[in-house]
Amino acid sequence: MASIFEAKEVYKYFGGIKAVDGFSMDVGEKQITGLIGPNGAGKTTFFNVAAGIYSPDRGEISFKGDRIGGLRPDQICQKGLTRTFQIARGLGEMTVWENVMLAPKRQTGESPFGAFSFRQVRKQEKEHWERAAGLLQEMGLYGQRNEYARNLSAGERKMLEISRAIMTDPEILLLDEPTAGATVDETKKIMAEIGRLRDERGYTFLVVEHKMEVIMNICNPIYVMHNGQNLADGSPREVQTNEQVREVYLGG
Amino acid sequence: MEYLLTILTIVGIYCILGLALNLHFGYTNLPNFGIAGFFAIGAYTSAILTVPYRFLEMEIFAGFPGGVPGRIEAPFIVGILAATVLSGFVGFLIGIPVLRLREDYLAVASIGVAEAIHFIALNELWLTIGSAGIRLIPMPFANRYLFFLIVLLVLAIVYWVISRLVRSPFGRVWRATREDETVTASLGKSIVRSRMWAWVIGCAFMGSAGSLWAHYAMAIQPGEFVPTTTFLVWIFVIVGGLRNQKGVLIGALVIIGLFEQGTRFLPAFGAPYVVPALRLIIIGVLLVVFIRFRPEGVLPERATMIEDHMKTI
Amino acid sequence: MEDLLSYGLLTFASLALPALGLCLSIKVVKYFNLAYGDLVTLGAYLALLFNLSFGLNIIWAMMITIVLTAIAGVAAHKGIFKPLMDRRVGPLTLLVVSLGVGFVIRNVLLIGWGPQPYQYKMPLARAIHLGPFFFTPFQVVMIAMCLGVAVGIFLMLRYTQLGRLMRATADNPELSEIRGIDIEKVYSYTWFIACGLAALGGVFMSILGTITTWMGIHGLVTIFACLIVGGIDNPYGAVIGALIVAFAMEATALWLSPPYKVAIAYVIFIIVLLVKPSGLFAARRG
Repeated sequence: MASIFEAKEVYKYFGGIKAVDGFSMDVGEKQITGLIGPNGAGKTTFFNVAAGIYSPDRGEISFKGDRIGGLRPDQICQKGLTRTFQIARGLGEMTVWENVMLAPKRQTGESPFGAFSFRQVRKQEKEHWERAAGLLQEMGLYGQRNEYARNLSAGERKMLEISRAIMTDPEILLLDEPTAGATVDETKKIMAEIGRLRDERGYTFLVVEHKMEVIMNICNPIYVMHNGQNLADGSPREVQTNEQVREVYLGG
Repeated sequence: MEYLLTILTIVGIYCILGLALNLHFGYTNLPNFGIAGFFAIGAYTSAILTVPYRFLEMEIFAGFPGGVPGRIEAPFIVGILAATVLSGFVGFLIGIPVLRLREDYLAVASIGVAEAIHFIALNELWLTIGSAGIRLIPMPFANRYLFFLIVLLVLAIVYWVISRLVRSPFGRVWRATREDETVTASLGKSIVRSRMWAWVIGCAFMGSAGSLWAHYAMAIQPGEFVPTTTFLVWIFVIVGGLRNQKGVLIGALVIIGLFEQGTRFLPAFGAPYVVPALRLIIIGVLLVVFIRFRPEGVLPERATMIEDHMKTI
Repeated sequence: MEDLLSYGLLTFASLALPALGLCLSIKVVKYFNLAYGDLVTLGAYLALLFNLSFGLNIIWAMMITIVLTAIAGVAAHKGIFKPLMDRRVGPLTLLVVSLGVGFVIRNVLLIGWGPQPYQYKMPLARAIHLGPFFFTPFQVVMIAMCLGVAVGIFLMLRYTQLGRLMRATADNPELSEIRGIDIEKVYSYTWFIACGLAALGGVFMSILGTITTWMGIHGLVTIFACLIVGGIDNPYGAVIGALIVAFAMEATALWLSPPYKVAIAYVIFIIVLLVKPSGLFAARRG
């Protein structure tokens, strides 16, 4: 399986704290790779480095062969890597439909001159809305399309976050705890969606999760991070039966 | 009737300033306290290009083919277009360092910029004739009624352009940036580009307003482009409704129309400076009260439904 | 050259205290209060009231003015800014409101005194040579007072309980509150001191020049320039900044041309703001 996303010996320090301390990983194309670890292990920081919010102090991150360490978040997204946030950051003052319609890349209407190419913009808006409406329906959010995002429940906001990420039509999706705060039903929906997107659209996923049933069911391989470093990696079974992993998770 | 026309013309020009500020602060969260500066750039540019007498007597122009450009005397349309473009361009140059600043630092920086422009207007006599000001600026068609229509036309254009931009995907990016930069960036939008465009377009329109002012008043002086002017615009934008263009227009009509101009007809009590000072005091109090009790203004922003959006896009 | 030294020192004396005051206020309450310039003006005019209308000696007028201005400042804080801060509005909103307050103060003074410039009634004096300097006795008193007050403030900040409370609140307001510090009291005291300094600065500026209703806002940019050179929340930096800016201004006036004296302050302000907004000698990460 070709590797589409690679992190080599990445370090990130904050003052004296080593948030990411020489972490490496490989994400294969069209795979759903999992990243687990106890709280504070450095997973979200690693995501932030990968997504461009921080630059790595040392080490390399590459995506499709290009080095992306040090690029701005918007540049990285344009290249095809989209991430979601641990606590869903919906744009509360905008409506649900505005949130998802914001996402698609390279919209003509997004430059001041392009905004006046009426025919182009109208065409694109129609196309994007068709896609968005379908997505919202699957996520069960269609009924709330005209609601302000801040009025959604926690689980709904997570789904909105994921929908938005999907609308950017990425090649790789970094999901930070996509089912946190979601109900059992919503969790099932999200898991099914991830699988479907991988199968039908060929998306690659890197998922940080705490819920074991999610990780073990859909992710393969799984990396375990501890204190900013690699602890173990392998198939779900391998990771589950790994001594060190069990120690760290205290029977998890 | 004449008098009403005067008031409405001034209100119209202030409306343009207000819509531009609304673009900056209402839609993009860029507190621009240097409005007077861009207003001045527009006014002076238009004035310098259109006055029917010799100007710009500087050695550096001596090398021009034909010697010092005597009378440029361009038509009004050139004046207003040049004012708009130059104001936008200066906005761009200033925006490069300024837009990175945190909101209150940006506010202070923009005040500084406006003061710098005011200083140049006051002291660079070769460019602006200093405090005596520039006179005999021609009003197009020399007809107040027609000029009012011109003001309305420019206002309509500005209103429509901003409206279109806000409803477009571009406007979505502005509003998203305003709310949460990190998320917007994570969706692949360039924050810098989107902000800079808002800034430049707003400054350009302030320049247009400046040009209209110069041709309406037919004489300008540095003393007109002071923080008080900036402040007035802020007041009626906040009172009328941030992020709602109609609200801005209403705010301008009420505050500028009734207050600034209407009270000119009340009997002046005390010395001549008392009534203007009183007006400003009331306006200052109004600002504090509004921010305290109703910061979203009279007409707040409203959400659009997807169905309506698809019909009007 | 001796002109430069003398004028520079005098201008410094009139800038240092308001710069220090504004610095303290920004450092502790954490927003730009643009009405500060108008508080300087208020101080100048109150002293004028006592000096001209009530016939008091300028020194007495100064004392009363300091107290009154300080009280006015604290009143404004409690009446206008505190309710807003309680609602957790951002620093920008507070800035906009402070602009409004400034407008009100400025125009009330305008109604009271009119637009013409005033001067204090002070005994005439001759300038005497003091080494390389050239001052009137009163100007010497002024400079001495300025330095004395500045040193006093520094000592207060370092060694008194109030000073420590101010520094703690400035460093970390939430933590300080949790530790039981009455933040609101610290704010009030800070404003009291800052406005007192503003008044003093206003009186000094008026002694050196004339009193007009817009002297404060013109002074504000200059004061900001001092702050930004010294580091926005660094009190020592504020005084050093005042020294640098004062001499830069006088040098410009002497060697370039007088109107540009104010321009250099603007230039310094804008350039430093754009290059390093936290100030050149910022106290911390800024």
